[in-house]
Amino acid sequence: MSEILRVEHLMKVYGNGVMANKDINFTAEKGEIHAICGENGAGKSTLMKMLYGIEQPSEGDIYVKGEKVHLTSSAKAIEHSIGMVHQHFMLVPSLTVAENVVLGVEPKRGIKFDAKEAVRLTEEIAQKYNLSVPAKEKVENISVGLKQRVEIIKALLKGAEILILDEPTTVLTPQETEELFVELKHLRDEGHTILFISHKLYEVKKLCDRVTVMRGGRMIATKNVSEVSEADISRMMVGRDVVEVIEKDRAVPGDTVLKLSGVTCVNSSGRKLLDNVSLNVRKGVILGLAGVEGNGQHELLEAIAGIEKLTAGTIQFHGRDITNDSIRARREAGVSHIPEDRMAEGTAKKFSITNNILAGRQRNPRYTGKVLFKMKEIRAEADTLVREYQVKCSGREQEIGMLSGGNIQKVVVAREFSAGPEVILVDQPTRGIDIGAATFIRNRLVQLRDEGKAILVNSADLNEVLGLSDSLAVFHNGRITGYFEDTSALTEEELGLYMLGIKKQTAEEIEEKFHG
Amino acid sequence: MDKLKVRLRRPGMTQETLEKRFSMLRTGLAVSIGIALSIIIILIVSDDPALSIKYLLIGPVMNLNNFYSLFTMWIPIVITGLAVCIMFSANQFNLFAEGAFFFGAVVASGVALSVNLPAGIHPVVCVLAAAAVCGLMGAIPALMRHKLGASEMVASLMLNYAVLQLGLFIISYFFRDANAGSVASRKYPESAKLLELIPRSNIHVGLIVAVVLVVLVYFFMYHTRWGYEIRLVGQNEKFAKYTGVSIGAVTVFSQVLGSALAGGAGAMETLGLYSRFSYTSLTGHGWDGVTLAILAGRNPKYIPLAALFLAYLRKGADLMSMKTGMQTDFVSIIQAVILVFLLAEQFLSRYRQKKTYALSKQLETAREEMGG
Repeated sequence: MSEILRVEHLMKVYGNGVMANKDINFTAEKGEIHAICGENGAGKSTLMKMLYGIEQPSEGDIYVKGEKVHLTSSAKAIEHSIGMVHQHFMLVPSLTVAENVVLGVEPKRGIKFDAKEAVRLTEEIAQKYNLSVPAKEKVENISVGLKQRVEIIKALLKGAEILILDEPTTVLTPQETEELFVELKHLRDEGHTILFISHKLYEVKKLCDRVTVMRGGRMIATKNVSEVSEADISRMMVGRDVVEVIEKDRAVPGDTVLKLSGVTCVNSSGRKLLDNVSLNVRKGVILGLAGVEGNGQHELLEAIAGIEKLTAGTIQFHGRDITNDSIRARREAGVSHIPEDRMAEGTAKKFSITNNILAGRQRNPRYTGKVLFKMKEIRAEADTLVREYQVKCSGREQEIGMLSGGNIQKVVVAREFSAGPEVILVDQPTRGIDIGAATFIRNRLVQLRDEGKAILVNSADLNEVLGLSDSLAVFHNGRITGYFEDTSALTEEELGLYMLGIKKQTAEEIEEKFHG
Repeated sequence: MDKLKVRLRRPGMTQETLEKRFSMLRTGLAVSIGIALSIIIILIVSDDPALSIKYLLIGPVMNLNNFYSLFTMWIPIVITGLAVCIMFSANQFNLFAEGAFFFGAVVASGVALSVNLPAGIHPVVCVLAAAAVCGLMGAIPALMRHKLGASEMVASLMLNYAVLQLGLFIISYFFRDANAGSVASRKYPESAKLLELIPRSNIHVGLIVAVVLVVLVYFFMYHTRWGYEIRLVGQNEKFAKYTGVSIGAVTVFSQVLGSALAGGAGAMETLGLYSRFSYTSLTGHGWDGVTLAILAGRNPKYIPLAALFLAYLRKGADLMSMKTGMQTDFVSIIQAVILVFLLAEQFLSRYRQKKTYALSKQLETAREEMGG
């Protein structure tokens, strides 16, 4: 095997002063699947962005096939045969698969776009690498797994020999993941190099030849996968042993707080995001919402929070109909919401920690007089929460955007948990944050459950959903396809079948569980 | 660990102080470049460059009358500056301050000429009426944005010209003085005029009003729930919505408030300085407000200083033009250059990146010395 990619002393400091990469050295060889592992915030994405020309290193060099390269744009990276498949696909939904594949390198006949040639090119690559796709189908009509395949073909068409895959399995079902792995191994055997970014260790074990572990922006080690165990990798990632198990006692369910009947949401293009969902949520229970992203779990939380408007159905809170209540009325009644995207929906980046904690309580008489704020109270509350939630910061007046993802999430969580809620809607509680902060937040959730709060959790991390939930509702196409009162006997594989819609419980079966 | 803390506490050692210093440096440099550029132009075109530069730079403080007129200029633009601050803080680029200033003067003139009230109350009623009418008008672009999705910037820009014509119509149709040579209203009754603070200085009570407004607006924006909601919406509208803030109410409110302030400023300007309504076009005070809001980084606290700077430049240029025949348009050049440099994100960004990198490395080494 020969070396194809080498980076030396790579450093990256972002404009806000965050040092994301420190002195990175590593090499990838031709024809290997090389995993880059690390907790979120370890610097994987930054490294990949530099390799794909999206970010420029502050210091250090990149060599492709022994030649020093300056990757100032992704076009340059493609020129040096580096391709990337992003976590969020860069496809035009209204164009066909073939049109998407040739985007940027369109075949032409005269001055006209040559659609036939586009299809031929797509099919040629598809056949060569055993990646079958419906070339003439519009991208909006194909599944997530296929979209990913289209992305891979796109990169290959442009001559990619080094393929970067950024957490490719997050959006896939277990079955689709299996298929992807077969395809990737085939690509490797054809002599391509694959950089596989992941923090799912069993996938690394299953797929990869070598693994490089990053932690805190540094390179910790590169090992042959066959020589290390999952536990070894995990230890290198966090620098200590991790117990992944979420410890909790059996739930003691109380009264029903929240009752959803026939909740239906239709988006502007007429697609049913939620289709006749009925659900009871009881005090002292963590109800997990599982499903492949985009199947209604997220929308359900937003509907309860009042952000998504219902087309049909009702929501009752303590027996009172809140279907038409404003977001504020719901919050004041005791609904807390940890939104999916902490930067877009959960914080104002340029505001101080204090000001971020104040959001949603600015009208609470505890913090404001008739006219002026009670600054003392506000500051005291911020100090208390910063301490209680162990937010690492220089003080409550620090801009929240300067903190790490985990600490930002802690501020969001602190604000929502301390607002005196009865129902807590939790959307992706630990996405993209370090294990320490994640564990802290999970333990808090369990603690709140024990205090008798009703909690709904949606997470893309199946382990998390399974570990946290007392009961579980599985979503497929905006419907609940499975409801499990007790999750202890449920396996990830079985869950996968429900998520894909292969296995289904009937409406009667589900209904029975609520009333039985 | 303690040693690290000590190092971190040293001035200039954290990212935040770096940011602060950087923005000071940037403002200072932008201003200096603007002034340097105008001096160069003066050197090239002026017959007597030394005298021109002297008047431009120290003219405003050379005698008392000039000094007074600085503050005459300062009063209206401080208020329009505050007005724009409020609207921009909600991330609403409403430019109606310009039209509101003009129309505020129209409304004040109308009220001054059509009702009889005692001296102390008459101007107050005029100014409040102007603020109320202009505030309501400011809701037009705000509602167009909120209900119809039309750009508030374009809507308010067009509204400026609509109210200009409407105002001229009202004055010439209802309040015109037939004996005056041009389109102007009848003379204001004495009872409607603003009290002059210093005799024959043209500094009227508006000065006190402006100072009070600076304090009020600052407290409003930073110490009340209403101001907080305006800033929250301006920082991240989606986040504000998720925490239960009514986006429509807040954005409309901010623009009504801003327009009302600008309208009041126009009312005070015409009642304080003139004996009749004599504007025939938009006055530019609203645009100055935009300039100031940007210079002050949308913080009401810095508006007075920024306004003084702008008034000083203007006065200096006026004097220069009077004494040496240089064009006053210079100020526009200086102003434009300063704004371009302040708004250009890439200006000094390399230097900043370098500094940031050096600092991060330094902090990193410091951390390592402490053993991790």
